Amino acid sequence: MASYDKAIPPGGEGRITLRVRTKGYQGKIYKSAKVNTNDPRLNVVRLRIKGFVKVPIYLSARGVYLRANEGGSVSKSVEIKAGLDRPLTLKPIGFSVGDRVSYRIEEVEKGKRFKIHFTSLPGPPQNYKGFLKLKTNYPEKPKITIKIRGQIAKNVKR
Amino acid sequence: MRRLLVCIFAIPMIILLCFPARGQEVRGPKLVLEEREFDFGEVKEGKVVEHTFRLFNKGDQPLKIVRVKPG
Repeated sequence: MASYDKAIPPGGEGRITLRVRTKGYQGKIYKSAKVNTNDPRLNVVRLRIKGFVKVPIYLSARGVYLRANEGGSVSKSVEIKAGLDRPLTLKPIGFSVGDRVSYRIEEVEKGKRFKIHFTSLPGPPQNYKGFLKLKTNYPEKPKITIKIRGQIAKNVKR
Repeated sequence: MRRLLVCIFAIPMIILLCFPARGQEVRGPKLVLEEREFDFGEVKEGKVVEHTFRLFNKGDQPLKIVRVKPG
């Protein structure tokens, strides 16, 4: 969002205010705004705001997309990192695509870093979607939901 | 003789191009920005971060901000 002075007299000063909502962001964030002016030498200028958004738990992705061919399988993983100085624990509380996907939780660094490995199971051509819900011991972020989407593509005979 | 003629015409032309008369200075609005980038450091998720960029018009005509498009 932006608010600005529409005209600045010769020798005068103006302001452009940029606002960034950080809800839903995590980690490094870059936002910019393109400014168009009537200065023929600088009629387009880009203003940037950057910073770091702290969250209790960092996720490398909000979800995974598993695309495999008929009879085959594919694996993807999501990394979960503790953003607080307390050890993090994860406990699965819901998994809606157990007949199409398997998963495994790897504790890479005790209480700090985890990897959730998802592997699609062979099956007939289809599209599917679901989720894995994890309960955490952080009151600031008691639940994590990882979205799962997948496709088993029909093999094309040549 | 030919060299002399070239000197007579070329030297004043070069001087004119290098040192334009004061009255011919570029006119119009002139945008000068104090900064183009702002680092807000670390913030907790959910906060709204705000920053005001100051800009100056060093020209001799009004500077118009036609549009600011966040992207």
